Amino acid sequence: MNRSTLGKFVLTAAVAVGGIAFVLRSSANAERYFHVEELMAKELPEWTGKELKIQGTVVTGSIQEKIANQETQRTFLLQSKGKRIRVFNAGPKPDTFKDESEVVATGHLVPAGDLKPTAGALQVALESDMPYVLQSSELSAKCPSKYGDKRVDLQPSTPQYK
Amino acid sequence: MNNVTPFSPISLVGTIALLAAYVVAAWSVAAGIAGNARKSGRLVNSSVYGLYGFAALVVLASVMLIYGMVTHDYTIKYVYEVSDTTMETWYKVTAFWGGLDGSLLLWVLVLALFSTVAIAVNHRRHRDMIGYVVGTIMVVQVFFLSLLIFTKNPFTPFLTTPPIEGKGLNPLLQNYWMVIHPPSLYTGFVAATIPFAFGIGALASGRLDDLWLGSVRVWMLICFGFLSLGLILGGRWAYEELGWGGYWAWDPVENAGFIPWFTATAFLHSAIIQEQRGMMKRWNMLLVIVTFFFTIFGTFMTRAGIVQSVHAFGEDNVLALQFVAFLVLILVVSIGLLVYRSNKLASRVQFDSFFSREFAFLVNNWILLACAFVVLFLTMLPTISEALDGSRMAVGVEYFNKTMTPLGLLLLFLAGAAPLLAWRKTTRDRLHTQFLWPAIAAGATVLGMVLVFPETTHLSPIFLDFVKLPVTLINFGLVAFTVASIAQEYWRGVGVRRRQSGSDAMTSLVGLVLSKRRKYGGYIVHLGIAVMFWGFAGKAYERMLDRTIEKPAAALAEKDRSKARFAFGEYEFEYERLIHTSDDHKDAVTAEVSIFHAGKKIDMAYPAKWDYHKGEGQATTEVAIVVRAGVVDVVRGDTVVARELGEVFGNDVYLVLTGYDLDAGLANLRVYINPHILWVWAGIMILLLGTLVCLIPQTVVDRLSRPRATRLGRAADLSVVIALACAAVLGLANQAHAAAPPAEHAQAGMGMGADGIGYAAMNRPANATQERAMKELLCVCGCAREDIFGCKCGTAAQLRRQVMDFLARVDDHGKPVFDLTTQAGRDVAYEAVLDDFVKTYGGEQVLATPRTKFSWLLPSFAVLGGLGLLVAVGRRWIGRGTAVAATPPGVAAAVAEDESYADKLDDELADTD
Repeated sequence: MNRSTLGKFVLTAAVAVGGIAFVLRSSANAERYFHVEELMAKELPEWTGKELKIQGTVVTGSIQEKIANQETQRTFLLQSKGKRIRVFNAGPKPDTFKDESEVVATGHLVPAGDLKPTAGALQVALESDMPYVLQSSELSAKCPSKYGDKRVDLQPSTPQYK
Repeated sequence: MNNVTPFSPISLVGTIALLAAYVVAAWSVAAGIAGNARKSGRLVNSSVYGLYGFAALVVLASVMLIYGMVTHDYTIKYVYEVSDTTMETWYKVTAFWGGLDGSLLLWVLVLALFSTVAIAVNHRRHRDMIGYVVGTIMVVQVFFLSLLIFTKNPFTPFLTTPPIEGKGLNPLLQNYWMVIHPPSLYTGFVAATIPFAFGIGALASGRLDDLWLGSVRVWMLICFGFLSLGLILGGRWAYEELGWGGYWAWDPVENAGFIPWFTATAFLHSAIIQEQRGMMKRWNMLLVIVTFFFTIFGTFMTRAGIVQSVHAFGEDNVLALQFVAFLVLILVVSIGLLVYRSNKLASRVQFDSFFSREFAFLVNNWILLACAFVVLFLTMLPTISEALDGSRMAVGVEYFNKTMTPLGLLLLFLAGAAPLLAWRKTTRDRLHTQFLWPAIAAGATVLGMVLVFPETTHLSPIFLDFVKLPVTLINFGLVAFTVASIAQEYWRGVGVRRRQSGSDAMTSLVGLVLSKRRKYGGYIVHLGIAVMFWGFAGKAYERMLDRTIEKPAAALAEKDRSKARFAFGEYEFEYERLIHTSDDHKDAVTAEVSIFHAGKKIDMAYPAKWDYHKGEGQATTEVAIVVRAGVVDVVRGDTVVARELGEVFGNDVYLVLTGYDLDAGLANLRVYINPHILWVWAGIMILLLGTLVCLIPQTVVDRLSRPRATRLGRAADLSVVIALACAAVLGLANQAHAAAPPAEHAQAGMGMGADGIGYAAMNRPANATQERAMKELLCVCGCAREDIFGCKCGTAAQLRRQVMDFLARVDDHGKPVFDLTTQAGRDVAYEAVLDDFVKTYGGEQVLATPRTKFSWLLPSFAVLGGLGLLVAVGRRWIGRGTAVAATPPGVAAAVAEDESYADKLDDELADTD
């Protein structure tokens, strides 16, 4: 086997191995999309530190908002099939975000204790049966598509590409 | 029209044109393939004329559709879906490609026009394969046309009473970038069909010498140029219209354009290896096929709705199935032919060394292909994962960035390194001399950055989270390396040419570039890429802040104004007021924000939300972008503490109104400070210039270098070329540069014409004469000679009132002084108002175009001087030519050397152009 053929083999093998490793790792790194009850059925501590997208309905009357130092803080309960999770979020919200609206919250799971001060500022008591809450960086509210097809559009709180 | 059975002649003619085109296309396929297979010149000619006829029919259909839009023929469903009577005419025309049906027709139209040009240029040169080429192109046309006719006919009329008003175009698409972005990207996509057709023609006919490669390279270059332009215009649209602060988010539709861009770029490089060394023939053919495949696949991804995206057209299973069938056909036929002709495509030679240019090109090909497949895989991940385990998995922008950054940096390094390597083998000495200066430049840049801007040493993860590198520092180093390498190549090339021709540096430079257009044009493209990477690096320093301001400054007492202020980075922002306006199309809520830098007010910004009456729901975001560039001192307190990286190299202050409460006056503002972004737009323009240089045809160069009867004639030729190049670059610069915020953006008039309540919206002209006069009169407020029509200050508003009052004057009997109903009367009125202003303000400085004859002298001198300069350069050039012709035989050897000087430069084996 001459040098060039060997080189081709090595290169091909490297690319193949790299590709497989890449695919395996991608699945670990990707954003995960769950409904609230799917998330709550899992071992929550394992899902901290991962970016999650959680879908559910806003529980009526649960939205608490406060503006302090030019920053809007809010918290609310997201529910789906009887399961609930508390969501904390700051910044803009989608126009259609309100009680009973379908929402997808993107963010990370954090121990509820970490957000006690924020909850205090918003005058909300943390639920004792929720050891983890979702700290969300982005809220998207679902609304009927305006483009006339069967699709449902996601309306994000801030303009973005997806 | 309301009570009669709908009948639309436009729909009828359009549908007949499409049906006729379908028949012609089918004939062309059969005649082309049979003609070449049976060696029948008549059949081949018939297929070529079929292609021309097809183009004419498609043009007719397109014209009909546009005519339907412009004349509001809502008996046609598609016209009803994407347009309405209130839209501006421009948007009525562009609504042509605003929906799926029309965009498919646009595809067919662009391919028809392109193929007409390609076949007209090449059909004599490639006589024995042109039938196959036409056949291949027409197969593609038949496919798209069948989609159009059977499932997506844009001319389908309503069978019942048609509506009297259309639904209107998606507000997001009513943007001037949308006028040029889709056609440009489509042109890029479509251009890939031509190389594919030539490739298939060569495979089918067995004529696999390098002749086909020449035609294919030009078209691939066109494909590359338009894809680049289309991609960046899409980025610019996203940046201005979507308001998320960035220009690239790895959206599936943008990715669909990016994937063939990678493979087209790979082909452009490996084709050079085939020309130079006769290697990689199979590979090149494969790249041509893959590029075409990806253009169709990209269309499939976005048009058939298999991925979710901001501008995908929704799910359509029938369409998806048709596309899948076509994609399979492409792969089976082209790969089958490739395998069948595999023996004829064997390489003549092998690689000699790892330190050779061909090996660098090979590595570049691998990386580009890796980029294409990584992007493809990640884009398809939600679909793939759903098919595998039912859960829809998606990767975010960060993940794309982390994966693509190292690949991009490797490519950047190769863009600088490959030109320094020799063909076959680079000797140790040569490695040293070639890499010395670029390496020093890179080292010095890195050192300078570390010392002056220590924040560049920040480590960011690449590939895996625990692999961290100072990515931006490496990026800056590599940019410097590439720029230095290209500069060195130019420097040495010009040096050699000067020694051999005895001409001056400028003449040598022009001669060098013109004689080796592809090589030196290619280097300009590399330079553009390097400049763009400089811009990309700014992304790492992008900052974002959300603020909720409860009351505008206008509603607060003087002592409380600070409550409407906030600081961010080196800027301060004051929310002045919230303005609500509305017109026929939309309601607009605009926040007026003052921007301060170092305590001084530097600009006003008007981020807004527009709620189209037809749009039902979500408002569009009208961002305000303020470009800051140049060296600006950063003041903290009273002292200059540093020069911010962003300010030195230019940054954009980008404001978005994310929410508001009209009753309370509350506004949610999001501010981005985006450093370096203007370099991204500058880089793309350099890239396009390089592409244009590569595309200069030999005939133009021949014409330039042929001795003309007169020196003046040659100078004139030269000046035409220079003027054209300048015009092209300036035109592009005008399009892509961010500096001048376009009129459509929320300005003081809030884009609402006369309905705003700012100064700029006051006393807007009510008729053409007023407007004409206002555009001719300059504001006296001390602004930079803006006319009172455009100036946003209060003085301009007063002056506008003065114009209006003057023109509306009545005599003692109550009769108007000026008759504005006739053209002569309007001219008299116009002159009178200008005279009045000159008299009142004591001179012609108030006029945009001074009337004094002398005022024409200066520009005339400038024009004449410029022409003189061109003549001088031209004469020098010619002078050199005659001097060379008149040299004694001894010197003639040196002239012969001139012919091959570039080969010596880099040990090229044969002529490259």
